[in-house]
Amino acid sequence: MSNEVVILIADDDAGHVRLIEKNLARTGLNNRIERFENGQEISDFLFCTGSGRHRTPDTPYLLLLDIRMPQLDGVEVLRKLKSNPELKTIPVCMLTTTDDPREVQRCHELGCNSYIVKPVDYEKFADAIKQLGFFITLLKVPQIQSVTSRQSAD
Amino acid sequence: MDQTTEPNRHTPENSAPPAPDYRRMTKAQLIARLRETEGHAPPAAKIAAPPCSDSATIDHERRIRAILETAVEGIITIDEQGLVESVNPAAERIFGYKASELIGRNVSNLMPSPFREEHDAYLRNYIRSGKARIIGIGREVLGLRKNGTVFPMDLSVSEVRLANARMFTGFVRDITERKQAASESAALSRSLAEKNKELETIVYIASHDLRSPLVNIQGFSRELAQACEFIHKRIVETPGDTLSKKDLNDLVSEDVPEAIGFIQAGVAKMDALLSGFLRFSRLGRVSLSIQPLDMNELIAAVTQTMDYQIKQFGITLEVAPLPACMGDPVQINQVFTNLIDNAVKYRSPDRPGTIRISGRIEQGQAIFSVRDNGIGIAPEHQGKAFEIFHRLNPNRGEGEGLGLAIAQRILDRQHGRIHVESAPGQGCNFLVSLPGLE
Repeated sequence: MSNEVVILIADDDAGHVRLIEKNLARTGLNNRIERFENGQEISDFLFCTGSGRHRTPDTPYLLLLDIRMPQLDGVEVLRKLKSNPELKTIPVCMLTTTDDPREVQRCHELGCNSYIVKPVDYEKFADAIKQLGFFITLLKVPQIQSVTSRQSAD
Repeated sequence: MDQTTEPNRHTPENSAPPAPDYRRMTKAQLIARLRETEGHAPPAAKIAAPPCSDSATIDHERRIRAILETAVEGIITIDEQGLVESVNPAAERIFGYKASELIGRNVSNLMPSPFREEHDAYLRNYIRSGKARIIGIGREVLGLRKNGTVFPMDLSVSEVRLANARMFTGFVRDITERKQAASESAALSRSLAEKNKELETIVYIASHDLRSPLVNIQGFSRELAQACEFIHKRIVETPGDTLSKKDLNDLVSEDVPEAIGFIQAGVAKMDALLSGFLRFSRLGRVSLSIQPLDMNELIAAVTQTMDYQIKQFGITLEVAPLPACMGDPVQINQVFTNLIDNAVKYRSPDRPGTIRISGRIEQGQAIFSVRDNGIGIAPEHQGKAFEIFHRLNPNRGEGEGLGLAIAQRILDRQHGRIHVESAPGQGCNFLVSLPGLE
């Protein structure tokens, strides 16, 4: 099992995801990327609910989270994640279109690790992604063990 | 005008007092004093003062009478049985009766049902138990005019204990205008709150939904520029005619079309968002023509225009007889078109679709139900379903996420409401309420 950080992108806009992927690759990051189209999907993945994909134990994750998404929005996902003792260690970068100070503050209060505005200005966007690349390489990403994995390992 | 709500209980002085200062007395005190000096004769308005030896007393009585007759508040006195003893001119004006029509009759004639029937019992109960519901307390109650109209009034009642009996004095103020002003002000503040919410929505939309396609348009334009630069560099760097087609093919056959695709989609999305946004905003400005609606006709017209869609997907439509309601025909048509359109769009792949439309009258409101057996909405997502541009299932069918937002906006302006009862996989029941026929 690889201990390479898996980047989770929860964003309903395929174009945004493609731009993030391209720019991450340009900064030399070739981590595995998993994409989720709405808040419910990423929530089901992390909390191992529903019938879709679930996270695997012992894999370090980093989450890039959009705010405006169908069903569950990013702020709600962040709140759920950060109020779960096991999952709150996953680093979360909000990656969204608004720099509304109230939204930024709300996300920080809920415990997001970073907040990046998807700028319309491409240069800034590329810079932001580069910074994120450094962030990812510098970050000591904790591994989450789940109860089930410990049991199955016994 | 003094609107005291303190209990006023007064025992008239037994011995002749040394010239009391009437200007400092409350109304109740004045009336007690007046009755005392008149020897318990009904102090109906405009009765000539009895002859009196003391000219100072005559002067006092004239003052008291002048005060009662010029008071803005209606002043009515009753005895222990509830029979009217006196009525001042203001009370005559407020209730539309002449004093002579009221004196000796039960004061309950000035109250609408059910208070009219209950008044004698209240009074008896008070006299027996001393437990006051209104005596000594100011209160907002309903009055009944001679012409049968009911109006809101402030009533304060004080009790006056005389040597061998007691009487009650009611001070009445017609508050129709005040109530009207208060309800206008409440309506105004509701519409202000609505405008404020609208503004918040606009800020949210501008910061999220409208910026989103721009990120793609600019991002992929930049990708195109980079591809162009790369091609140019290859051309310049490669000597002679040796440039391999394969070198450029990846760019031209994959990256460039992908970028163009996203740019075009971004432009189309922006266009759809802006026109949807304008449609939504204009709803607030369209003038309404509220009229009685035959909902059987209206729903028949809606389902007829959607007949093709409904048949195309093999959906069974059942429409029960519907009550009439008040509303704008064009906009209410839009509401039900959107609801039925959603029922078709979010049908379940697991079973043949059904849509049932029914209605009932409940407390003056017409309540319509549009029930489907489609995919349903989880309770936690139900609030979001009404947000503009919010699509719970963006992959199902065309749409901008406007249908329910528009329906809600329309109903907000027509004293209507909409909500949904649903569970995932259980279909939706959209409930629309509109004012019933007046």
